[in-house]
Amino acid sequence: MNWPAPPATHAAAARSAATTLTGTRPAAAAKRAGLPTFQLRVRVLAACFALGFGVIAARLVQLQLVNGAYYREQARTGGGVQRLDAAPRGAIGDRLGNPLARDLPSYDLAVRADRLPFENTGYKDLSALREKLQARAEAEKRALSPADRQLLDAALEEIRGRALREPWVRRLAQTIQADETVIAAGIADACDRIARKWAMASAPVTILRGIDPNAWTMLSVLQEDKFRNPGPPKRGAPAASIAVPLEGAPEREEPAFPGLVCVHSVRRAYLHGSLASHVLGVLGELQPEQLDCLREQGVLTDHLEERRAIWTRQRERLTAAQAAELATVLGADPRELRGLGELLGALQALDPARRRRAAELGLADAVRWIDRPPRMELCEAERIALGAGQSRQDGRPRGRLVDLRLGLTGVEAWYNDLLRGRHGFETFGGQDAARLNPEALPREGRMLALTLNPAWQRACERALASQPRPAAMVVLDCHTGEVLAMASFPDFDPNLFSPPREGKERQAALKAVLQDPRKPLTNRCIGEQYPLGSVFKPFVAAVALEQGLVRPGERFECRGWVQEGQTRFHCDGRRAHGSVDLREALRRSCNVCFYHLGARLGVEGLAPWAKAAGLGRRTGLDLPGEASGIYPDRAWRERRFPNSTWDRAWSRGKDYHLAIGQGYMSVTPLQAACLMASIANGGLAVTPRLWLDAFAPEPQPLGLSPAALAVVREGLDEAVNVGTPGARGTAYAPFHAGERLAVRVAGKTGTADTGRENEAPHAWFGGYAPAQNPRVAFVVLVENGGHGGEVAAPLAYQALKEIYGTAGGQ
Amino acid sequence: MYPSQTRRALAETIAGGLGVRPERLDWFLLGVAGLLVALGIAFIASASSHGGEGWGYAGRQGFFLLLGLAGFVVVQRADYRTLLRWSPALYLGGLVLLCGVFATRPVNGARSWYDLYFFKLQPSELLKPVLILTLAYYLMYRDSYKRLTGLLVPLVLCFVPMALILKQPDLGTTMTLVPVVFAMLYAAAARLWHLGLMVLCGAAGLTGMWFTIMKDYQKRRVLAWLYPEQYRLSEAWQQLQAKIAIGSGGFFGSGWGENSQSNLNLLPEKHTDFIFAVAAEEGGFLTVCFVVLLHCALALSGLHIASRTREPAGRLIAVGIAALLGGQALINMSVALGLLPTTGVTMPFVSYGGSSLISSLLCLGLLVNIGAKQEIMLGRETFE
Repeated sequence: MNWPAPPATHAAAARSAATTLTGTRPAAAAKRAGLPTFQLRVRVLAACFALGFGVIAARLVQLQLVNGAYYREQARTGGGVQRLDAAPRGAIGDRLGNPLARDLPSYDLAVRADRLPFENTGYKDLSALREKLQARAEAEKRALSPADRQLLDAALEEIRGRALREPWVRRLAQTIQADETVIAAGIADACDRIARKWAMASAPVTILRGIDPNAWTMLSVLQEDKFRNPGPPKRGAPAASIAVPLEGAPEREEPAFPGLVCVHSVRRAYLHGSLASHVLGVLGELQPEQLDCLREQGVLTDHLEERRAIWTRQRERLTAAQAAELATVLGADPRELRGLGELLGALQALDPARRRRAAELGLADAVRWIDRPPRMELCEAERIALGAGQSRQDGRPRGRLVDLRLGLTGVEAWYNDLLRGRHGFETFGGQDAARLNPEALPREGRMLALTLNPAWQRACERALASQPRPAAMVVLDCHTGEVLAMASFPDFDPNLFSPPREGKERQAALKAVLQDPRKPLTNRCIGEQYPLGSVFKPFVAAVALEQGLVRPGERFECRGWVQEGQTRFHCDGRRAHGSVDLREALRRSCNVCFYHLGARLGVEGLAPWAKAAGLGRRTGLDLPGEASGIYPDRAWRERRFPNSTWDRAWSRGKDYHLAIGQGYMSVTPLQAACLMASIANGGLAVTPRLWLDAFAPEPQPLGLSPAALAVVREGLDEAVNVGTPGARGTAYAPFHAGERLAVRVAGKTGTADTGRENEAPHAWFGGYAPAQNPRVAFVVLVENGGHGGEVAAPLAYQALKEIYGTAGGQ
Repeated sequence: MYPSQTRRALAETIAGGLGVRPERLDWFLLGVAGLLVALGIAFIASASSHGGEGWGYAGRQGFFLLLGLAGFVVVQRADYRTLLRWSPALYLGGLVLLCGVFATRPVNGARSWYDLYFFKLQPSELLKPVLILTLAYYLMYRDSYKRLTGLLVPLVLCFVPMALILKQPDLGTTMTLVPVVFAMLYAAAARLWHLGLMVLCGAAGLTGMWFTIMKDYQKRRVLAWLYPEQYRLSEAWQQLQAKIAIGSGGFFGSGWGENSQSNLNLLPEKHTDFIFAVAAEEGGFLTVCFVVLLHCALALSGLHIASRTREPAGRLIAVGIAALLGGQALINMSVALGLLPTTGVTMPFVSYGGSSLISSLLCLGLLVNIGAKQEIMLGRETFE
């Protein structure tokens, strides 16, 4: 092709430009002028570009090669952006299968206060105003100024003030037939919440719970239509797809109910209010603070990784033959079970022999796991929600954390893993979302049947509530250890905690519960330990008899006191009982007789028996927060008084105190009930439990012979049923003052000094029924109640009367 | 026919079509650009294959490619100095088009396109080569840019369209013009300290803009770039997803069509501004490094053409085009890699988009055109 000759002027211009640029001027001249030559400049530019592309390449090395694994993981989980799909929580029922606690659907209305209209600043809504202020503040690199705050506060104040006057509030109230003031209060609540924490501004605050489903549905349709923006119609799109506004509805810009959000949620309902509240426990929101608290209590463990490793290992090791045999042992194919949780659940329900067999078949790790104290663990979805393993900022919860509930106390906490089922999570993108991931589907929680007998539970609670002092009562099946009733007074309504934060009344009630000095949230049956007092005597007597340290008919002379060194050890009320044998000593609660027994037994002589009966250690009940109690054997003293030989030393006097359940020793009411159960069932130590399907260990014989126990049980029977004037049983009066019970009860009163000045002793009554052929063992404790026979025994009578009824209408 | 003969015949056909002798044609440049376009179509196809669009985007890109090739041939066959003479008229026409765009209906909040039914014309893209021509046309005559005041005219020439584009708003396209202006002024031997002053003024101007005309969303993008975690679900979303996509590619990539991030529409603008992320995820380090190399080669061979050309306007145009293509690629990649705040900048030749592809091909045509007009060089220059 030929290069067309440029016009003369252009050629000249080009020549001159070329001269200027680089062209013909000699190199020396260019250098003198201090200008880089064109070539050099182009090379500089080329170097700049090469550098730029080099930076890109370096960044690629960093992202793809160095951090590739991290981003691949992120890609798998969609960058960790997941929405939680909460599983329905399992119900908790009584032993008959009637639910005590269950999830109920709840049709709620919430408001987003930042969407509510206001006037005085010319912004559409609060979020618009705040965005503006925030943007300004951010741009100026400062926090919101006081003036900004004032503006926001004024806006909030206006919204709050307008709530009652708003026409839409009135309309809403008419639509759902609720009180306007309730809605206004909800709005005020939302405003308060925003004022406290602006970060929550866009979070809907529930104002009404459990409204009529039909009204709710109607509202949600209305609201959605108002908020949905159809956007500009697409060309060629069918006309039908264009949303038509509801007839007679206001303009799209003005929703019928601004800021109203229809929320569909679940509510944990405790169907009988405060019934068995301490056993059932409460739920909380999954929050880091809660977790820390649970971790401190040892309820929560973070063994998930370890567990997952175990599960993988176990599953990989299984051969087909083993799996087949395991399937018959477990009643389920282990390869079908998802996760170790289910495997453990299956193993837990097995008897020891089959469990041993399962261990032999390759599930040794899993079986060993069960023997650890079982606790709560977070499932994967929960960990993701909390951003576990990463910093909070990096952990990216996108679900509504409120949806994730966590048992904090009681059965809700102990069996949290079972009740929770498994939360699922929806992955936004990532390879996980591409395929259906069965691991990510939510799985409904299991229903738990408790051993509680609802009628008995109610009877016990009613009896305790008939007096003002903090009290506790436990009823056990004395052969199996099943807890038939477990009442602690004062109690609380677990519904207060679910849902939390709603309405002023609930708030106030919750506050009252939390601030009550009597600590209504404490389960006194297991969480507190008390000196046992005379209720310990039957056990001491049985052991002494068994060891041959006392003969059944042996008589002791009671002068009302025993001298030991400088100190006199008195009988109750400093009364002399005269000559008493063991039975009478139990009946009349003679301390002097047991001082002698205590001296003969000695603290270390009694120790193995006490240990076998479960004193000084947790009973293993499936509830969190159990205290261990104290049995002051040498090991305990060395632990307790590492630096004081005087305290560590034992003396005759301390033996005396131990024998009547005073001094260092202390027990929980549940331990006392287990003790009574052992005496009632012929000397077997039972492990109490609350889940009906939980594996029950065989009751272990204590080694107490029937002959020895017969003497003791006679004494206990007499304590309740012998009314000989002058030598009456300590518990005779309450059981025979009014109507006779339909069942013959045996028991022992206890009046345990607290060791503190000016404090009434704890009142105890422990026993079993029927006296001849015991089925249940029970214990009543009244904190600082006074005399056991006068305070605790009447409560037991009252409860038993309701449980067994009165004899033939006498 | 022997293969070598076939090749020669093919080369002669192509060169003949372009009106050049085969040995004058910059085959390397054509090859690089061709590879980029081919890779681009492949990635567009895979990026959109799961979005229900099927091969729609890739097919349309092919159509744009034909349009662009036509433009390429026209520009290549024409004498670029004729174009140069026409550049003031083209420039004014471009400004009119840029003004006219404000009468259109906004798409995604921006008025940047004319809807021509078969494709959306983005005048700002077409203005890029025109601006380069205009700048070269102005600069080649004078040496006034050696004085500070002399810089005023070229700066105004740039500033008017840049302001118009910024007003659309389209920060990205505006940004791509910045390296062009600087490279051309620098190549035209403007004094360095003048350019430094301009950088300072620009920085001051940007700061001023931050407090005056910059839109909230633009500020948030910058903040999101600085603090991605705080904006991870909003402004920084795109960039985080792009980073994940790129990082998860690893060395070999996940394979063609295996782009989990973009398939699920996690990554918005995946086939246009973030095609690089798709390439990085599917092709891995291996492929994406190749893409980077191609772009680098494109820019460097553009500069090489500039350094071989003795005709002043040609040199400046070549530098400008190299700076445009290279700079745009750099900005695009930096955005995808999280090195720059998110701005909508396409990757030349690779990204989906008619205007972008056509504009890139026009630039390429100019470059090849300049590279082919070597006969004006009579002897080896004793370069200073």
